[in-house]
Amino acid sequence: MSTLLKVNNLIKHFPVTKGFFQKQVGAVKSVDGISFEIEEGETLGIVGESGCGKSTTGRALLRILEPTEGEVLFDGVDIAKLPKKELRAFRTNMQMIFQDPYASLNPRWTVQQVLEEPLITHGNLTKTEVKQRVTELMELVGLSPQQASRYPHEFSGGQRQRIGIARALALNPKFIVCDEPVSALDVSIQAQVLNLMKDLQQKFSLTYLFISHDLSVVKFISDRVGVMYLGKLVELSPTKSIFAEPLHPYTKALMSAVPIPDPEIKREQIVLSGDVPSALHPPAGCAFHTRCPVAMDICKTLVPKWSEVSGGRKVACHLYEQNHTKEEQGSCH
Amino acid sequence: MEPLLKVDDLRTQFHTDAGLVNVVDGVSLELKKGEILGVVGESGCGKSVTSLSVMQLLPKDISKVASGSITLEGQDILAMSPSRLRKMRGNQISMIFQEPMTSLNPVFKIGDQIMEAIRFHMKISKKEAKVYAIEMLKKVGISRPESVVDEYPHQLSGGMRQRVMIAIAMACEPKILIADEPTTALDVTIQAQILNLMRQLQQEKGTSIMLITHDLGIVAQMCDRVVVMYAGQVVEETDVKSLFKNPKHPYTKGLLASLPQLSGNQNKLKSIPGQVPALDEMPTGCRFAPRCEFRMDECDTSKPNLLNVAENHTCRCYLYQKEEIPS
Repeated sequence: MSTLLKVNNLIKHFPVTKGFFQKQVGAVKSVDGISFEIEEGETLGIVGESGCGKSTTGRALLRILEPTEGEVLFDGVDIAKLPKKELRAFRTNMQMIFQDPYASLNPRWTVQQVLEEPLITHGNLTKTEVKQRVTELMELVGLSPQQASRYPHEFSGGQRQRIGIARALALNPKFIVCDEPVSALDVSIQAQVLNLMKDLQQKFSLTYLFISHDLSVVKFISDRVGVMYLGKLVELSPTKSIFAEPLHPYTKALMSAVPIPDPEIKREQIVLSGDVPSALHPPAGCAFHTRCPVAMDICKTLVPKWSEVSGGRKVACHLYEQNHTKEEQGSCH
Repeated sequence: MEPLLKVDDLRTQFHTDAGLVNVVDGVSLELKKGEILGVVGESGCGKSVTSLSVMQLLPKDISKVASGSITLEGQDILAMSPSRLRKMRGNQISMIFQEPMTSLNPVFKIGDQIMEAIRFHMKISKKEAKVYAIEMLKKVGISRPESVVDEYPHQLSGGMRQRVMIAIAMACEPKILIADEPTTALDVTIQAQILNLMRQLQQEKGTSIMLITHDLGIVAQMCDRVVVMYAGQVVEETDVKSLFKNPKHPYTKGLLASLPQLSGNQNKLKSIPGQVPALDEMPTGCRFAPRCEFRMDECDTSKPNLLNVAENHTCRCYLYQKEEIPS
């Protein structure tokens, strides 16, 4: 497998301005220096709570939001520095599926129009070819081509999300950012859409960045999982190992907080106190130290390094920094 | 033992463009003293409308309770006068809502909103009420209650706002707390805090809780008994262990199977095909029949009744007709 996307020190700050001259008085550090790679054909899941910067990351990768700093290498091309014109053409390689299937489709457009638009803008297909492709796309996502002349309001949430998926697939992209694609759907429908996304990935060897707050959904669909907290990645590991043995104290707390649908299982829960601090004034040192059950003195002053612990597992935590022997890992339990 | 709250054959109707539709169609349920009853179902199954019917908070101009009865300790809620209802709400039954952002009034201080309920029901002075409000805030785990009473809702985070809602709801020590998706808008770590708080209050005061949720994980963790709803009807009711170990109704089975698991490996999720029927296009027979993998001929033509399939376990499905045990 080769690396499709390489992100180096991506930063997105939103300036906070004040007064008549719009003087900048601060910045909301939504994404504050994250680096990761995505292999071709894999799904990288990003989890975290609201405001941790996971959606901003997805948007900055596609330059829906302009990154403040950093490199986004897609097949060796730095998207972050691509001129507007080239970017437009380049975007056929990367698409996005949005969270809210009710808000991400134009209510005045028929499904035909929604799916046609990217084809007309980017391709040079004839009218019949476009029609054919729309039919093909609708069948692909499990909708009947007869419904092409209908408007979004005539569809249910799950069907609308299928339209969103078909739109993302229209130009045969390599890479799709899926931003909470099933969060607005009921469980029975969510399962349908997740299965569809997995099938499509295999069929077209797609690469996904799958953003979600739901750990069980991320576990189902991802090959590797990154956990974000306050604009930073705190842990990135293969799915199997992160769920078997989470390393970062935040990952541990997050996993123990998910209610398990089995009344027989009673387990120890790590309940974090307090709320996530504001991204406008993130705590010094490790951003998690204010809520961390095993915080040490060093955590309050020194930002932990993003480093590899073992077999493809990266974590940013002082517990694992000097030497990561088993005994020391044990001491943080 | 006489149940605290009894809903019997409730039918709640809404006026829509398609005419009068039954959003809740023949729902019966009971809430016993000190228990946590889970009401689960997907959007549009009528779980929230059932709770709003109990509280008599339905929008009057477009909806009404058409038939059935709701009794609180033997008293008919449907026959209560508006002033009697006001005395009941907050004092005997309280409710917390899904959206902690919109269920507090943005222009009143937190303290005033808690004191409103306290002073209405307890008839104590303003000073005493404020002391009591601070005490309530402390009880629900707000770290600096003395200053929070004088703050406005926008100054608090989502989790803190939901704590304030719980403080208001619990202020008069109601016998019943109806929690309608209390943690849906919150992050998992905050959700864990709020659920712990609710459980702790329930154990301390013996409050009965009706917990409405779509999250089966929360049901498994919190509830004693569960009512599963589909398209305005109760399709299964039993204790929480039997529901997860031995689900009967094909819908419950499908719902459990379609959950992605945190443990183990899954390559494919089992899903329920199709979608919930629209309110004005309900099937004539079993409402789940069009999506059901065990469908039989009679499912399309006649409506199944709730059957006793085991002790304290009812299910609305023809599959269990032969197994029915006399109640």
